[in-house]
Amino acid sequence: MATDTDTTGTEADPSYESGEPPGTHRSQLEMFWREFRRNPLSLAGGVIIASLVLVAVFAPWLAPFDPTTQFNAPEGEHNPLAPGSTVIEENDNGEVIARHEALLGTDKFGRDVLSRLIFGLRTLLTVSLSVVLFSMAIGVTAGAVAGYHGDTWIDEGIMRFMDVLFSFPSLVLAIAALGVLGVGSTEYAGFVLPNLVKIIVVIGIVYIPSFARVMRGAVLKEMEEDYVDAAQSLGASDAHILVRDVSVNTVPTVVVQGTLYMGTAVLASAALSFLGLGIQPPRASLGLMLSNARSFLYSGEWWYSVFPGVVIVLAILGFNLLGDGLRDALDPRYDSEVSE
Amino acid sequence: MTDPILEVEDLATRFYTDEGVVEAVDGVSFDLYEGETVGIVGESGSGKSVTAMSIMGLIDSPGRVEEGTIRYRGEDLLERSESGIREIRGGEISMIFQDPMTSLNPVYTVGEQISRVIRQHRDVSQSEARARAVELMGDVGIPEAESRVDNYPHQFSGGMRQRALIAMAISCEPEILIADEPTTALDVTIEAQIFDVLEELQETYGMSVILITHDLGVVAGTAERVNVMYAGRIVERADVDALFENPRHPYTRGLMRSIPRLHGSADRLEPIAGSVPNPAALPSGCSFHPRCPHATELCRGYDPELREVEPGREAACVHARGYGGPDERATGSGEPVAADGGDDDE
Repeated sequence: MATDTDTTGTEADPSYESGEPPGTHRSQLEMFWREFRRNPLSLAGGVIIASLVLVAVFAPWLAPFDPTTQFNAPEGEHNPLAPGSTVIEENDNGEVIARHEALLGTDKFGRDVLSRLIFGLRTLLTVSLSVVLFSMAIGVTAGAVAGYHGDTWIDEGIMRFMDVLFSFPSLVLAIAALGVLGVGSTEYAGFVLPNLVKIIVVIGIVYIPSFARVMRGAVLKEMEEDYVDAAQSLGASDAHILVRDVSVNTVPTVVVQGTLYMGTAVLASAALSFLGLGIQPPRASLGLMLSNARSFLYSGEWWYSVFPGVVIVLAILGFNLLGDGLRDALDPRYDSEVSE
Repeated sequence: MTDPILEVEDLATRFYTDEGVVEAVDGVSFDLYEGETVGIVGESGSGKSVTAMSIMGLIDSPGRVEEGTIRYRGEDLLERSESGIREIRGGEISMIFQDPMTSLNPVYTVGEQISRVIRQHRDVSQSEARARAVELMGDVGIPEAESRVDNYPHQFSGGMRQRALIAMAISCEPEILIADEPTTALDVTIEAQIFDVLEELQETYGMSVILITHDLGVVAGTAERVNVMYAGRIVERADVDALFENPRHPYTRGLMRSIPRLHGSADRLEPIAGSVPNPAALPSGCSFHPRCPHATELCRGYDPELREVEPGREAACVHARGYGGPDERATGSGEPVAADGGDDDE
């Protein structure tokens, strides 16, 4: 029932006292969307990420073949086969069951590139999202505690530890850790540490400080806000204020940071796979595909390396555009409303 | 007379900063009786807000309430634990702040924020709290409260937000309301409306009000007794009429001369020369002496305490009529001047 008679939605005129029409209800979400769609690049980022996520979620239905099935090349040809080639499926006895078309060609083991792309994307996004959620969970908590205890030894202790973590070059730490722990699943006295968890932790650990810093800054800023004093003066406890008021107001900042770090995490997990330290074959992984395709770069099998490369680039580009768009749409309005 | 509801005695709040110890409030005492309005007036930095925050127990590090007592109904609030003082805040003593634009949380509706205060202090259901919130919003003069209860703060104008904050502050029917420059950020037309609302509520709920302001005009219209603060101390205290008729402290006179008058001569306004001293390095003697037109050698060395200058009013100036001479602590070399130094009023 919005009657758009007066406000532009963002500014309430302080001198405008009593005659405000009572229906000018515009939710925060609507205002965010107005801001966000203004920039075509943000929209593009949103569309890219939305499509990639849909593909990853529906991978089993979208992929034409199982990503690990190996096909044979027709007589006189050999894998990898070019896009659009016919591939032959055989049973265990070497009898031909069916002939298929490999839309984007095959890799050197005769596996369908399209299917591997789709499943590789799924793995990549899962790992990257887990990495970001992992570092976000720890970083945000640590940052909130530090910010809340601003300028005390607790704050100092947490943030100096974060500085130490931050000083590690991310990939180098991950490579070293995986080198020591091994790339497979590790077993300690009956306790199995799956290799996926290891990858997530070694990549994610160096991102923790970024989230901690952003969160600490946001909390420090929020704690200075008048509404915190007001809530205190009306009997709210500090913990209550931190959870109910302060943290809610830091959500935009953390979401923006998380989206931007998704791009970084995609790159890092692809790089780790490329080096053979990430997802292990035969699971589909875009980084691993690139790594295998390296030896075919000069022999003309372009589809082998170009498609996974393009998907990785798209994912990183999409997350960065989306993150920038979110920041522009969330932060400035947020700022202009809080100050003055 | 009955006992005061709030007695502040020798309150001293200090801040330990890198530049040194700041005595933001230095030995402030005053009483608040049931149902009355007491004004605290002074320039920015005189310690008015710190006094208020000390009463609320909201002084954050590096500040500390170090001396004195704050007795609410005979009980010293400074003795209470953090959770104990939290019951007082909002329930018994409430506060409203200077800037209504930022004192509400932008992400919750006004109704949610009022209900939350109610539920903090009263054991009521969500819907009861909401109904009470609507009722309160009506009480403070927010039109169409029923529909506006679900609005977000950014959909409210400044005056409406201050009303909403007042509604929050009075939601649990506190005994004392501290209003810290409640209209400074608002238009003059709205200022009058807000004070009307406050006055009405004070009658309805029988609250006592501590009104903190830099604006003597506001005090003249609302308060019954006035404390004038300068550099962390009360320098003059009187009934509002007596104060305006005949201010005794040169600082009070300065304040009055620096506001425009409707009647009387159309002279230029006379600001008080200089500015509030750096609280980390207060001048020796009377801290007002560098800005005081009547300062003598005595003022440089002698720090006057608040003393009764006539029944019912006090001042802290050796030159104030009725003050008498400096006591034996006097270190100044100038002869005591007991005469009225303020013959030039108007």
